Amino acid sequence: MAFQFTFDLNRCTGCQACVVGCWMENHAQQDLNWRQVHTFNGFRHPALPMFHLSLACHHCEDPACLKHCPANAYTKDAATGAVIIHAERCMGCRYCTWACPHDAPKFNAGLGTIEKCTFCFDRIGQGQEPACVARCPVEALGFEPSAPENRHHDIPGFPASTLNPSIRFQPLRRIVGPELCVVPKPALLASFLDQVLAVPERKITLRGEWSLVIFTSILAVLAGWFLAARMGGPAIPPLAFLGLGLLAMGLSAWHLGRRERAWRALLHLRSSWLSREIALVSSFLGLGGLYLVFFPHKHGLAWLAALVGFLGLLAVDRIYRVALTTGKPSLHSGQALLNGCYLLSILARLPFLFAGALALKTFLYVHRKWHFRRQGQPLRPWLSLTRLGLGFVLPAILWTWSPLLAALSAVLGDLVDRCEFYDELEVASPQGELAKAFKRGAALSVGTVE
Amino acid sequence: MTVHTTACPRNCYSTCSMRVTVEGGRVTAIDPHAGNLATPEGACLKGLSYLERVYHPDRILHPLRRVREGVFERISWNAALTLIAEKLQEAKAKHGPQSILYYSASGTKGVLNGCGAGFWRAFGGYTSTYGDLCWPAGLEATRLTLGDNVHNAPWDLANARLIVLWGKNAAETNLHQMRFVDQALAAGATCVAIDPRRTQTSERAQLLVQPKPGTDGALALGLAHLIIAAGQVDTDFILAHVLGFEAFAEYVKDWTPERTAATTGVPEAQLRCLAQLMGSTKPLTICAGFGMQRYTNAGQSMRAMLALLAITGNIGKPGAGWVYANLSTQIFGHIKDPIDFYPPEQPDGVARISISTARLGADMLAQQNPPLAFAWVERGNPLSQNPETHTVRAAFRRLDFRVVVDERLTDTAREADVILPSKSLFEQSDVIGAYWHAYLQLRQKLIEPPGEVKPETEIYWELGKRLGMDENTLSSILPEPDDVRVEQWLEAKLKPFAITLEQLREGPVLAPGTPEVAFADLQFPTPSGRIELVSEEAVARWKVAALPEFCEPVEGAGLGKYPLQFLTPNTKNGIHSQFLNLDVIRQFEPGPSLFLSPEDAAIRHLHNGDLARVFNDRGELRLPVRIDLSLRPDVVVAFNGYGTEHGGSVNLLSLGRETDMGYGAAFHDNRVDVERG
Repeated sequence: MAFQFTFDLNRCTGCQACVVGCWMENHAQQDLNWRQVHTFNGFRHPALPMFHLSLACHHCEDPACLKHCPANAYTKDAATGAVIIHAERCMGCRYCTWACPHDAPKFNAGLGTIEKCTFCFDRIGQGQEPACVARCPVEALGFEPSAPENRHHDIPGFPASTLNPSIRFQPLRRIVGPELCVVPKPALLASFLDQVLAVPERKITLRGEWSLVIFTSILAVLAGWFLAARMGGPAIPPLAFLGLGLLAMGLSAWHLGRRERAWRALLHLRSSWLSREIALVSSFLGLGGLYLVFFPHKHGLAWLAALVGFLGLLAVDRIYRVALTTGKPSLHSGQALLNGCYLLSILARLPFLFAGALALKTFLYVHRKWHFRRQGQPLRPWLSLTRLGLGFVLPAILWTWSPLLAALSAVLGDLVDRCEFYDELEVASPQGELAKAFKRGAALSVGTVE
Repeated sequence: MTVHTTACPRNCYSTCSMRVTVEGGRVTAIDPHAGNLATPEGACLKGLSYLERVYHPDRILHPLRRVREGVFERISWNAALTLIAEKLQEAKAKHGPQSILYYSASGTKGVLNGCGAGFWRAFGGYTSTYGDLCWPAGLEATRLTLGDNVHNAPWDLANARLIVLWGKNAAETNLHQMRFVDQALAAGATCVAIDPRRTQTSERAQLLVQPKPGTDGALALGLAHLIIAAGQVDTDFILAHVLGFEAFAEYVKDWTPERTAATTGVPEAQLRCLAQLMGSTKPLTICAGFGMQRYTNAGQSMRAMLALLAITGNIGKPGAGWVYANLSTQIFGHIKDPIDFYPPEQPDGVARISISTARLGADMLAQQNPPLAFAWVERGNPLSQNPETHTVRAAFRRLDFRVVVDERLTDTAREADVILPSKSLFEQSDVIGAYWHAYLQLRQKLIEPPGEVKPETEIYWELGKRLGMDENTLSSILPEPDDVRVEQWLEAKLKPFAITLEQLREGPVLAPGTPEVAFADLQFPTPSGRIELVSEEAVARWKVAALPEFCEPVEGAGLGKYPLQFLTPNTKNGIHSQFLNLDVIRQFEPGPSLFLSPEDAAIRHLHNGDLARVFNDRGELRLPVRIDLSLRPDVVVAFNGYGTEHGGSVNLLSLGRETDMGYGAAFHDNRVDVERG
């Protein structure tokens, strides 16, 4: 029988016994807390209630971690519904920490692998409740046979998803805080809001993912140039292709927690775009290398390599879909496939593709800036001017004169964009959702607070 | 692997039963014990954190001797006890036995705690304290009004239709009560919180009344005024069971909503709303906390609050009543609290009970004939938890010799000449009571003490022998140092009540005669046999008005030069100065903070996270600011329990003075100012 957690917002006092109860059960295999208590309105905004969400892994019916794991390190136990990470199969790519909106998988930096809530699989087998449930002193956490009805997943702070998390919430009886005696004046309140707004720590940062910036940028260059060379553009020196290819693969393996398990990335082609990316990119580099070094006359091989290269870029872009925050359309001017096409158009002198790609990228860039600006994020005009100048203006001027110089400028411009791309990536998390809900609630309350 | 029943012995309402797993001589898990109907879902995070605490690397495992300030070296038990015996004999010879101060506090519950006083008596005499830091003013107010400190079973709260949590943040200090609050709310009850702070508990309330600290008595009188004016009193109940209603009604006539609002800072509309709720909703339970009865006017305030229940007939019924303290398990002594706290009217010449706990430092310094020369401290950390840290420290430093028995290097232990390691809750069996539920429980010995740790009874035994006491004398006051003897000793204590250790090994047992509903027979053991709104005993014993009249707290209501009231409550993360050092706890509360309202922060140009200096004439602390957007202005808050390693105790700023009744400590009567640190 599959099970689900229950959580009653009216009962939880944020006491943290569940977190300690989990630690008591699992500390031998636990580096970070598997369960976390998230507090809404810890600074007690008078117009908003204060409540807690005790969240761990919800052992989703359609688990994103399992689906996206390239190493096939996750399984779902049919008997209990538990989603299990098998650390011995994990290569530490951390992609599941992006894919899961509940922040359930935790990266154990010491072991270089992922750990997370096991649903206390063993205890369930012995007819016991999970440790957190058994040790919740106020019956806020519960455990029951899984049932899809009335799960009330529309709780503020609980990320919306299509994953069918196995948890049923009991919503707050009263959705406002108590009536207070003294409420600060709105202007005074507003002056403190910025200070107390919790800005959750970002899971994806440019600084943390620089190796991936270089990896994906090299791939776009290699794929674009390789195909351009086929279509009459400047030839690609075999040594440069192999050198850059090796550097890219090296960097992609470098950021793994367990590099010796990099080969496992190929084990989940069925549902993981990361697995597919690695397969396609390795094939592209392999086929391209074979063509350039050993079989320069086998044109079929070259076309195949080029096709696989562009499919690889498509796979790269699919990977980042879980973290793209551009709004609609969910396309980015720094996406790998677009960058590859753009470079192709410059090096192979394809005017229609060049015009089209340039127009689309410029539109996407400006649109995105507008989108973030409306969300109140800084515009960073000098960065934008560099990106636009190097990426679009200079190539447009140089295009007819020197494709190589134009391409170099375009690549540099795209690199700036790619850096911005990583800086903008963010995945849903309870902390983030709670911060958003607080901001929304505080904004709405202006006018209701005397 | 074995699983055993035991209980958490901390000074805490909940006193949880626990099932503890022991594997290979080591505690490996702590789980709920369903046999305790008050805490069937298990201990809070502190109870679970014993897994770290008992094996914590900072635990003291051997006797230590001070080499110089802050530096200790390990010594053998033999050396430690010989040195202590020598110093005791020296003090006794020079000044007499009453130059020895025996100071014990509430760090651990247990019947065996009583052995300490017996030992010092056998030594020939000692000096000790009267009164208590915790709750005597409220106990005495309750005793004067109802005759005894008992209340309905904890789970009976689920039957209430109106719950008033008055100065009680149960979610942090009595977590398990929140289950019953929730059960009542789920059944349609209403909850009101009265607290200057918006707390986790007040989130369950529809109304949060935020009076100026120390004005709870005025609030109660103002509410009584409105209830009486609206004719919402229970006349039949009053006629049959209440003494002094007419005089009380006459007195509260002056407590008009206007006056009450001005005194308490509670808007009139809220007063009327709360009075309407209290006057019209039955049954009503008031759960009163401890914090507000640490003001100079505290006893009278609590009497006024009790009067609200008396005039509305909310006593002696399911779902109704006064949930303050339940002393049903105080069956082992001749007298119960609060009488137990009073100095004897006739000193017996052996025990000199002359030091007020509230004024510990000043009274220690002032003690003459003989002056104090030696102190023995167990289960307590007066340097962080008693008022006036500076004075307490000075008083300890003036002594010739100090012994502190403790589990870790507290601020008090740092002052010691010799530190003796103390047992954890799993290392000696004892029988413990409670003060919210009425279960007697066996705190079982489950593991061998680590290192050279010895339980206090064993320490006394060994020390007694070095002082020349013979085994017959010692065994008349202490169990012999042997697990079997300890259990026999406990068994003998339980025998008069027909309770066996075997029973307690299975689970908690309700103390004999515990009522489900207190005062259900409407018999009140007061002088008049009725609920006394007018108390002659209050006048005679405490020199206060016979009626629960209101007078401003000494430092309260803007009378002094400091503009802010300093609240120093407990947090869920500690029990006084215990637990706050553990990693398990510190991940949730890394250190102390100063909570400020937006108004008070803005005036002082302070932002969230800034360092602030909170100060008055007595002392100062530097703490990071945290903004609390719902805190009552003119109130600042810092949790108590932190000591020197976190920048100092909040009691650096408090003053040792007694409450109006009960010999409590009015150290919440404490005004301060705050500036940029």
